[in-house]
Amino acid sequence: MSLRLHVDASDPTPPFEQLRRQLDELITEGALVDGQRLPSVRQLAADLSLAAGTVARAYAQLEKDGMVLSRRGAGTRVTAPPRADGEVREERLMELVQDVARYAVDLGMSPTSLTAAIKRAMLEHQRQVTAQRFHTVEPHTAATHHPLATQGRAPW
Amino acid sequence: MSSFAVLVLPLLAVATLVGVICTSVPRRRKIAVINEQEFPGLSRLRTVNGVARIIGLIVGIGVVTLVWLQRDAYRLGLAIFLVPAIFALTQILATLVAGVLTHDAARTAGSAGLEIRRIGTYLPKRLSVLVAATTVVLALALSWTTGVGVPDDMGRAGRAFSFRASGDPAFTATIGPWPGSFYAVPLTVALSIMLVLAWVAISITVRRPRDASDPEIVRVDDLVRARAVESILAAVGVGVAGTLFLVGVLVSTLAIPQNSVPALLRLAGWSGVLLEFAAMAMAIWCAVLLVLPGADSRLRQSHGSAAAKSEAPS
Repeated sequence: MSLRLHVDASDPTPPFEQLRRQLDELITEGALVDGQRLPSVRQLAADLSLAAGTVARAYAQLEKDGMVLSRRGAGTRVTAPPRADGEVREERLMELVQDVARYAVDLGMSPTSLTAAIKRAMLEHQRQVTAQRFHTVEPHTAATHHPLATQGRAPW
Repeated sequence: MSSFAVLVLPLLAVATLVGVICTSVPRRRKIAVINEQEFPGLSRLRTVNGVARIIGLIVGIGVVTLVWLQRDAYRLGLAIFLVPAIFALTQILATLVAGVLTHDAARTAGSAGLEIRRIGTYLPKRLSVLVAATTVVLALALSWTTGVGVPDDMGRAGRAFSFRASGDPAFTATIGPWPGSFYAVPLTVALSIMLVLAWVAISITVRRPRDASDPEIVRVDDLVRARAVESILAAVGVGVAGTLFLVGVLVSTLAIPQNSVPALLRLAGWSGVLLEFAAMAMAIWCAVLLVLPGADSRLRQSHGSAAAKSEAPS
């Protein structure tokens, strides 16, 4: 069985971004290894019932991030070496925290109020995720974007 | 020799065909079991392909019968030469239509598996090699017969073969009909169309989208694809081997003792006889594959993550 990709039409996240994020995760987790070939843009677009441009955009974004390399005639191959889960998580968390800390300092917040705000945000997110599991919230209000999945950008 | 070929060989062919079918049926009639309620698309995929194959065979036999009945109406029996290619074309078209009709049957909205689908995965290796070899032999045979062909007594270019008799070198004999340019040019056109269409049909079959993340879809879809590709190749095999058989029948007239043919040409005549039998065996086997498609799903490991990993350089 192949690794699964899923594009949710009801998700407000653009399809190319959903695709990019899943491929990013598969590469980061080591499910897709360095040098491994990805399906052609046309094949993946046909399988997912998407426009070829959508898949091409996701591939282009991954190439920009240094995760894959596309060559005419040779297809698209993974270029990023797999890294340990913990290491990646730590790295991403630090990037996010640094961004948050910068915003907090600019707003004149104290470390205590920043910690309290982060705690509140985490609790709110957990509540939304639980509600989404039991289908009690509208898809558009549900949090579908894990902050740790965003590379180098603050989620707000 | 020629009358022997015309009378006995078709009977021999039919008897062999029946024998091969009788021994092959139990082995090749395994049908994929599908949970039809859970996978209605797969059920449609299997049914459409099966029905298309049967309709294709019926239409093919009908068209061939019509062409056979009109064999003397156009270019002195050219239709007889075109029968294998026309039959192959109808089978390829049937598979092509089935592929187009079931384009979305194995797809799940929004889901896909990370796999790389290649034509090579679904090509049955032995049959592919046999069909390729037969095509090359046919191309060489037609090149030679076209090169040595001469106009017949009515001045029609490439419809006869002329040689100096072995007993009396001053005496020149001409035999015909000969598979020279008169027949070879339209035959080449028909066979080229058949090969192009076969390539298109195989491409469409292999590129048909599917949700490769579901093992059940992959299992059934692989079987349907493999059988469709096998049918297309078998149809090409019938077209090419059938044509080679007819070319062999005409070339084998050089082996008839009554024709005072020089030793070298007599060798060519006997080569024609050998070609005739080999092509007939090949055409029969391909016809069996068409009637009883039995390609299994033991495809070369190129699906899924395991396959994708094999893509990675070591």
